[in-house]
Amino acid sequence: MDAELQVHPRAVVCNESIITGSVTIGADSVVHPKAIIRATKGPIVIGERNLIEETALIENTNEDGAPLVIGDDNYVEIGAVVRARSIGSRNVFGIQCVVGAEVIVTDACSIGVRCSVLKRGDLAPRTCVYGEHNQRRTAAIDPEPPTSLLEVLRKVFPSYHHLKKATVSSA
Amino acid sequence: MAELLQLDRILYECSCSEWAPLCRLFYCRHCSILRCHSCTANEIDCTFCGTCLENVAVGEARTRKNRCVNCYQCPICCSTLSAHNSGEAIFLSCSTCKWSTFESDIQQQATAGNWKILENPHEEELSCVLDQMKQYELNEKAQRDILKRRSNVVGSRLTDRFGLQQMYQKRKQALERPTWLAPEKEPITVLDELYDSHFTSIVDLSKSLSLESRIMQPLSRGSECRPIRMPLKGRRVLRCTQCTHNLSKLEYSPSSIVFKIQYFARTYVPEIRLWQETKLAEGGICPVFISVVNESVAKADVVLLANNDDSSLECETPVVEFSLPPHDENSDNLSHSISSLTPEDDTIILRKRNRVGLKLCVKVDEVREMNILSLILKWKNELTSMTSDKGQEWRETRVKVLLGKS
Repeated sequence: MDAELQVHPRAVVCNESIITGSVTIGADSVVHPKAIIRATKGPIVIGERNLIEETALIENTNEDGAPLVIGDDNYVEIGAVVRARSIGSRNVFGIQCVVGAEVIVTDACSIGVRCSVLKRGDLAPRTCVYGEHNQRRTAAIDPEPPTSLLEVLRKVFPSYHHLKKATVSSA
Repeated sequence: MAELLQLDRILYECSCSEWAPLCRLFYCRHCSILRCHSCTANEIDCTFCGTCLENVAVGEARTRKNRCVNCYQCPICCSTLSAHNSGEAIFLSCSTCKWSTFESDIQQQATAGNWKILENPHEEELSCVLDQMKQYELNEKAQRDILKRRSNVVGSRLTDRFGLQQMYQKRKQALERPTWLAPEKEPITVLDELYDSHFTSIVDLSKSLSLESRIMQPLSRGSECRPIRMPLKGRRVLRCTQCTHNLSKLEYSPSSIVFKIQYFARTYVPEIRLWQETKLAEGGICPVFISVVNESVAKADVVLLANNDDSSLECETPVVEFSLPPHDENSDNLSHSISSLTPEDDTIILRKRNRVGLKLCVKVDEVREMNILSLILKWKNELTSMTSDKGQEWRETRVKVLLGKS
């Protein structure tokens, strides 16, 4: 199972994270313990500087077996359920939000806490889903990437958690 | 099980014959009666900003139009805006809907506070009209005064030895009808034509403001938005309407949550709670398990009487008498020591410090959606009155226990 997992040497992936199927994790990304990444229908490719928090679920449910490609600087907060078809860069998935299959998340979108995006189709860049009724609007600026948080976690996790070993040589 | 802790399952009768859960009631020790929110006098004790907790004096709040000058609200979703630093300048952004000042006409500025808010373009004209109306008010007041005094003729004959002439002139001036100085508005005769395109053109809803945000900023015409100053909050003081003593008053600082005066009913009146869910079967005698707790720091004697006239159920236990020890703050609430597990009689089946468990028997006559058990609670507690001799009197209130369907 782990043979299919490819971790960049600079990525920090905790051993207690639950990763199944063919998953690639890029440089400087951090995967918390108890985060779930499931490559059910096809592989998952995660880019650089992504932060995936505990109990968040990322699953590839693409019926055609296409890979779920996740860009850079994405922030998947606690308990978020992301089953999108593809994900761009600089997106923020809020706590316990739900992104359904067949949703194409472009760049700099932010899904609010407990919001859901289930309708198939594109989420235009900088779309913000917020509030109880999943209102949508287009923001003028990108959501702030969790840069400082990533830096801290990259230092802290190796001292307190067992990590999954890197399998990709840093080229 | 959580159903048992619902507030509206047990209702107490207030002195104004309203029914409310005990935790929402107050107890006036000066009048020795229960008080609820609707029979107390409410007054604003202090105005403060709920975000920065700054205390604003009432007069100042009025000049600031009841708004905080430091905190801002999102014009889209009402959440608090937070200041962010982008190099040199500062911008505000909302963490919920991601609205930012980049979407307004003032994108960034050097300081975090003092953002320009939308202003009324007719401000000057309106204040001019207001001044005029004040002059008219003075004029009318002077006319009314003259009718009262009827001493208008002497003034002209007086010399100005005592400065009376000046006073007289002033009053005479006040009597003259002021001339209207504010610009007059011509009534509009020709209205803009209503074009069909108003109804046929496609509207981009994502660009227009929602009704809520239009209401929040009435001065914004169209789609312009600016940060909105945070409305101030008022903190209330409750007073007994009869004796005007305070029933609930917080400490001066808005950030403090310590009460200076608190007369909550729960600390003076024994509290009745459901202990187990009651299963009511038609035609039989069913047990109802309730517990009575004494939260006051004095011993309480309690008498529970069945009030079968008001009840939809017949209570077969007519009277229960017991006394409860005071509530001890130092005792460990988590310890499971039960003072007496063996039932004292058929009714009192458990005692645990300041709590007693009762088993009342009720007779169910017919099937109902809601069965109400009505009780009369009598209690004697030396704290129920300010004067010590009156503290030995029995107090009484009616209690409704909502048992559910049979």
